[in-house]
Amino acid sequence: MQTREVIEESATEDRHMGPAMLVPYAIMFVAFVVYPVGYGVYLASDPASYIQLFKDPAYLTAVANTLLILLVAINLKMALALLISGFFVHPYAWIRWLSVVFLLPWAIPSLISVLSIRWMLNAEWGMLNNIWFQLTKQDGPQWLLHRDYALMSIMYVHIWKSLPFWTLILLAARLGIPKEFYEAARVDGANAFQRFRHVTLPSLWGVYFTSTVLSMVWNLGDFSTVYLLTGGGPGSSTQVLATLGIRYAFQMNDIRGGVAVVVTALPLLIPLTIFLMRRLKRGGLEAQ
Amino acid sequence: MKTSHLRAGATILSHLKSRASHTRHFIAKSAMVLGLVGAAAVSLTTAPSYAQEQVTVWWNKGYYQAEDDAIRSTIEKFQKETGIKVNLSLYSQEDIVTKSIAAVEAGDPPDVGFGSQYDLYAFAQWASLGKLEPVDAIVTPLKDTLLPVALEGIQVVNTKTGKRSFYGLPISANMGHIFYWRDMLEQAGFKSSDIPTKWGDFWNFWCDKVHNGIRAKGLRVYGVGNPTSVTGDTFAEFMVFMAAYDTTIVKPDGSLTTSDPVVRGKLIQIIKEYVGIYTSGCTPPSSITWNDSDNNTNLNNRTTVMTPNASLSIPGSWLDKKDDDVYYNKLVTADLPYGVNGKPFANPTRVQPAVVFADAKNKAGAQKFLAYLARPENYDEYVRASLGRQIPVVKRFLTDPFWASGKDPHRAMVAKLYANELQPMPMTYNYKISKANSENVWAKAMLRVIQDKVSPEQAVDEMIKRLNEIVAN
Repeated sequence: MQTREVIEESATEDRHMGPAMLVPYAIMFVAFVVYPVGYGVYLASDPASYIQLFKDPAYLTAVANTLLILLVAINLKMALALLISGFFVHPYAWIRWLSVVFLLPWAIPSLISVLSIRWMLNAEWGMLNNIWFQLTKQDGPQWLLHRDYALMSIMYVHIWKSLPFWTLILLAARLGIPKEFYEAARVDGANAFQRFRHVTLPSLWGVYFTSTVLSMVWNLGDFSTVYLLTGGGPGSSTQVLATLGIRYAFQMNDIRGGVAVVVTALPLLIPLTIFLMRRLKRGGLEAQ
Repeated sequence: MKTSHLRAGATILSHLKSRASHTRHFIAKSAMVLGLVGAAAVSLTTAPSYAQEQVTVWWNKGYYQAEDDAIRSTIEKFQKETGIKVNLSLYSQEDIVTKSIAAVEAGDPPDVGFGSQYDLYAFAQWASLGKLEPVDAIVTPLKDTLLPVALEGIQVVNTKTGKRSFYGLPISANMGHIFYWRDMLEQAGFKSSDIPTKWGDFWNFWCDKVHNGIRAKGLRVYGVGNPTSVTGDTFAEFMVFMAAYDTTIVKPDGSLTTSDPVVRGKLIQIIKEYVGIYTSGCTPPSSITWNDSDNNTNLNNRTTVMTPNASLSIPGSWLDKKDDDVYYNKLVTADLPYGVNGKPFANPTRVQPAVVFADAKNKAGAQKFLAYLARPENYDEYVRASLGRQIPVVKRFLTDPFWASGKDPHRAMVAKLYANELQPMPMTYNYKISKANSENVWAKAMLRVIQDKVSPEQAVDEMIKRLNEIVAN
């Protein structure tokens, strides 16, 4: 009987130990996630903020630009990452060294790299247009002065900066494809494109699709690229939701409006996140 | 029961007892650690020791080391005299606005704040909505010593109480000047005495004659560095244009004038003229994307011959570099031309105040600090340390040898200009104009014409519509 009591007492204390070990994490989670998010939801709860927001022409521009960058830049980036990962999979020393150089854009802080690109693209005295003038004696394109060029520049910088990371992810996934699949395909007479289409692509599809969605979720709130490169200009023609939110909050002294801008992204963000979680969960179950 | 069973049972019992003991110890230790962490967190967030009175001051970091040294010196003297400890934090011009707005929203601001862009983004709104403490007790005794425009710039109606009070101690002012390179002007074939004083002739001179003259010498530079962006100094220049056209968008009672067809007509002319400077090609095309200091940078890099600017930051940067040849010989600070009607106009003037926040923990201490800073010996020391970048708001500076003696040509010009008629910025009369100004509805109207090729009439109508929407909210 004494043994059973001790066992029961021990089992009870085991049950208590679990939650006790979770308490520090729970405190941090409440302090740094629940409270800020809850306070943000409270700040964004005033319907007047949204009425005011929808009247601002810059808001619709920001929504359109955000969607454009998500749909075009990210898909282009992931397609490039898929192709380039096929190059880096070759086991030559010089390719490995090249991959180190390839990673540099991702490693260099955005402040330095994006500002440098901004100066390179300066319409009057930037490096590109200076070279253009030397060669042609004509003024070069006004890279950041027209909405279309400015948006393309933003997409270019985004791709240049984050391509190395996603290439690495897809490279790791490629290395997980058994070599026997390729050998079997070669034996069956498949050429390079057919091997890519029937072996590589199906094997990578899950990782590729999940990475694309994850990149969209991450970049929905991308602030630094647009802010450092164009500042949302010229005018407000390249504003995205993140930069417009900051502008409202800290330049127009309207914090509630700023949070409201970001909250309007939730109808896109939440479904993407739920979809991602389900894919990851399904992936985990399939692995088991 | 077999002996082996008994032995096994005893082992299990002993093991379980040991585990139970360890568990109890673990839980006790966890509780202790959590308790210590909690106590530390509470102690960090509660008010500091009450053994010594304290004042928290957030101050705009200076452009030059001497400015920061000057405020620190003032604080040291204040602490010695009063025994009040000052916790000073210096923030950049942009950061202090961001942090102050967030702190006010969170209900936990510092006791005293001074940001050189408070007046553009926050001051009038804070004062109107009761987020600032009135400082009449400090300012009223100083009324006769302050420039009238400084008093106008800090006097706001609290919309909750309906009372008009002084809501800040004015520290410095900014208004329109122009800066140009004398040697580049000569290179273009002209002298300073050739610069016209009539409004239209003035802009034609720089945009046409000087620009083409310098280009004819083979230099890829521009006659004018005129900010035309949403994020740059465009608003300041637009206010100057409005003053030159003798028009305003808000009356002293805070109501808009934009329904007046005469005002609308003048705004259309202003947009046409301002856009004309850009489309004529005499200002860098990238001026539509300039940030705050880009017009300074372009002039300092000698890629523009002339630029308007509101402070003496441009010559100040050369004084800081100790380049006497540039400061005294090559770079010139000059007056704006006369208005469109051929007469001098009241230059729109920004007033930059230090404030006491309504939610401050030590308002009495904050007021003591500002009163101490307002003493002539302390105020003059601080403002002089900015190498002339911060222009004083006290009448005595107009005859102060530091400014008016003529030894320093830039300061002498400023003292001369500030003796003329000045007017406060429109957001002083209606705090919602700050929001329109932050959105830079003026620059947006110009960019609609430049980029989207709409007519100036349509651009002005859109601007007026947006102004009305902002003010009505």
